[in-house]
Amino acid sequence: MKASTNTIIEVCSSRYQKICKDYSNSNTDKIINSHFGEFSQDLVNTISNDVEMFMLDSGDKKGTVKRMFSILVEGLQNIRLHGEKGKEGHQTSFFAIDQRTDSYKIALGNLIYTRYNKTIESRITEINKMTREEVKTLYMEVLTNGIISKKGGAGLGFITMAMKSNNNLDCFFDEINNELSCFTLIITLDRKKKA
Amino acid sequence: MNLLIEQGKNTPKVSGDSTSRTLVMEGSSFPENVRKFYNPINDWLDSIGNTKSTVNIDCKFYYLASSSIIALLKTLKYAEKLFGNAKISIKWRYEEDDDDIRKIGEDFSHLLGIEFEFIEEPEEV
Repeated sequence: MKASTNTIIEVCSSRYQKICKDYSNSNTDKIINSHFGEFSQDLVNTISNDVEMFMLDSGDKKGTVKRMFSILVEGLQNIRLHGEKGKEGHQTSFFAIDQRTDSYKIALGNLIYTRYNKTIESRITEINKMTREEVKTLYMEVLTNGIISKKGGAGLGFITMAMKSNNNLDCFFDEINNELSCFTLIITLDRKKKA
Repeated sequence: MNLLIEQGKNTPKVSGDSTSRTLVMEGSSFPENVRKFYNPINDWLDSIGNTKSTVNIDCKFYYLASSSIIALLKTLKYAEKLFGNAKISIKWRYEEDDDDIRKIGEDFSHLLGIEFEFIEEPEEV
């Protein structure tokens, strides 16, 4: 049975609020951009450009800024292409970026079918266990076989985010009901500042 | 037939000159519908026909999303199929210190078996 819009928003919002609270808990943490709701392509463009400008103003090196841009575009397009919808057709999703002294935390949340929770978790665990060289080999394999799905995805999203962040990916699965869950992906990007 | 696609919010400027057999792509590429964006480029490659002259491909990307990387590789593979390795010359420009874009070019060069000319350019302010 499909979950009601209210239940979906309650579960996703609870995770989003928890993340925002955690990210605002310290004097050194600052949420630099966040959104709860649906994402249009225009909003993805605007967020990516705003974050890029903010980071350049914060003194981050261009390489770090480009990596953030990459993680954001992959993550937000992933939400738009693969985020499931509730029974009223809303693609409930969210994101937040926390700026810390030495790193950024990027949280991305969207609805997925509960039956895929284990598969996605295994995929992330598998990538986390790999060395940088193994991730690169996997990337080259996917690139060689290069298939673009009807939705426009290329199967490189998690791999690209892992390569760009150079850190383990973290995730949470909050089950809404047997059909839908709120999936949250957390990416850590180390900061390199201009000399 | 010449090709001109103006730069968009998430798509590069693309121009194809059929006389000089030169394709130039410059900017960032992260459209959601990559097929829709890259198909006209493949059509242009089709349109210039296979002659004795070299086809020049000049790329300068600021950012490429993963789906664009695959779509662009497919376009380059298509050019390779149409004209053969020996008749394709690829310039791969990247901003100073932009290892990520340079590495994408190196990966493409390896997968296609075509030697790219790598050109590092000063960072745009």
